[in-house]
Amino acid sequence: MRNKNIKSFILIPLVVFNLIPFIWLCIGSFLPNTYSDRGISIPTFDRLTFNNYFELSNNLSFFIYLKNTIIVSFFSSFFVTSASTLSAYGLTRFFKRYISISEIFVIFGYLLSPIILVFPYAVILKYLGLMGSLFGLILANTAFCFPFSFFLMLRYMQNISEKYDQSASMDGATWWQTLIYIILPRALPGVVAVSIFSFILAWNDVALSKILANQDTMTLAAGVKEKILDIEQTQYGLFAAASILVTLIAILVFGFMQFWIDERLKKESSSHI
Amino acid sequence: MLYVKNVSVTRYDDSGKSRKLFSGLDFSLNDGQLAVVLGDSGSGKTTLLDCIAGFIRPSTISSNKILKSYTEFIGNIFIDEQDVTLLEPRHREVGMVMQKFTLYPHMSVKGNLEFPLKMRKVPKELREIKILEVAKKLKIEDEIHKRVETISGGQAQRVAIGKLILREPKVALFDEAFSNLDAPLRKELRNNVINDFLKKDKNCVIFVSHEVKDAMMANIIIVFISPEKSQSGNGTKHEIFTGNSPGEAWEAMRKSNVIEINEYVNTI
Repeated sequence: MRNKNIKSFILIPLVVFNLIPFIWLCIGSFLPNTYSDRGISIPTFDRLTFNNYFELSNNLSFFIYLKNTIIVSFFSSFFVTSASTLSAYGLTRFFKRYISISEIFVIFGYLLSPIILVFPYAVILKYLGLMGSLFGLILANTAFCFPFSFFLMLRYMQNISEKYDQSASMDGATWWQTLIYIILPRALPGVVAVSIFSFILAWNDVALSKILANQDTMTLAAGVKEKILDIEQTQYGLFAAASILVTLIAILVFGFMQFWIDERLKKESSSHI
Repeated sequence: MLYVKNVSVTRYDDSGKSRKLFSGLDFSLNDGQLAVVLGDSGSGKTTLLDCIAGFIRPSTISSNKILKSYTEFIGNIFIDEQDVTLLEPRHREVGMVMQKFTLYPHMSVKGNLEFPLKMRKVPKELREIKILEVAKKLKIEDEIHKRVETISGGQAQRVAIGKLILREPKVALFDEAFSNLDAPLRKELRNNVINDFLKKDKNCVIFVSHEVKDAMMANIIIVFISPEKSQSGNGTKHEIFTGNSPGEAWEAMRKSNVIEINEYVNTI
């Protein structure tokens, strides 16, 4: 009983601390855009308004940003997942001697923050003529997410016994068929984790989008910062509403995939008893 | 026909030590003949099967030589006069029931049985018929739609044997494939499965066993003797006993003065 009290003593402040920004945004998005409503003000029912959301939905650039974000997140997640899966499979099965050196490079890549990498990316994209295009942004996001995803997939692939490959090869499967029919189903939790990770990273990215994209190809997080936060008098209500919408979509995607991983892991773990 | 020509396998581990599993192993197995491999665990029985199945090939050395631990293969393997030493497992007409990991845990029993046929592009109707036939023979027709995880060890082993039968290999390798079954079923299945294989044209069977009794029906008996018992210093010693008819090899083995074999014989 005492133990329980101590736990809640520690946990409740943590939970509150994590929830305050979100609650602040929620309240703020329903308050009018007046100077006095900056910061946390106590909401009263007569002042609540949906104006911020209406204004946002009338703003065309919000939907363009939303569309860009969905395209960039989806495709970079797809590219990262397939690239990391394929390279991890290839390394662990056919080029074992390169595993240790590639791990070192990958950790280096992961240690660099996006703001350091964004200028080299910009130079490369400019050289390729992809500066300001959605595809360029997808490429940059893919390159940025790849190291960690690759590292994760490498661990997953190493844990799958090579006996399965041998068995499949004897059954007449090529390495490609082995990957599709035997290895991928076993590595599925890893694949899903990687795809969620890269999706969320691209969804929330500000630095890459702000420098590599132009007005038409900017993603939501950067767009919100550019359009709403940077004007002389910040429209907090509008900002809060936009943030809530961005977060809600991300939460939906994340929640759905998390549920899926859990189910899958339960099945996996029950199979090893 | 299978011809294992002068095969040597050496294993190098991380600390740079090498261990000869066997050297100069040389025997041929005619169509319709059975070879039984006896020996202690760790003496290289499974490695011999891995060599024949193609999991250990000369080409797998060069790619892994920078890794400190690798297995070196020297020699040649012929199946029906064709040199298969460099061929991948899927191009060899060899099937093997491994000790474990032969079944894919995410598939059903049927999916497992179907996989080798699917990879060989057998039409769907034919697949169904063949799977049912084999399932009936191995007494697993009730289990066919279950997930592999939910069936017992003995049933899993029968599914693995079923996969081998469906694959129709020229050389069938059994790596202690009947060890998980209870005694009456083991005897029945072992005799049925192996005899079925041998009756078909151009088939031969290699059978790894812990039980010396299994050697009584063999044309060739290969005995691996671990270094401690043979007192030969480095490496496993091997002895090969052959005969024209089943039983002759067994007699030769009984008469031989290899200490270990006498130990075996006395235990029967």
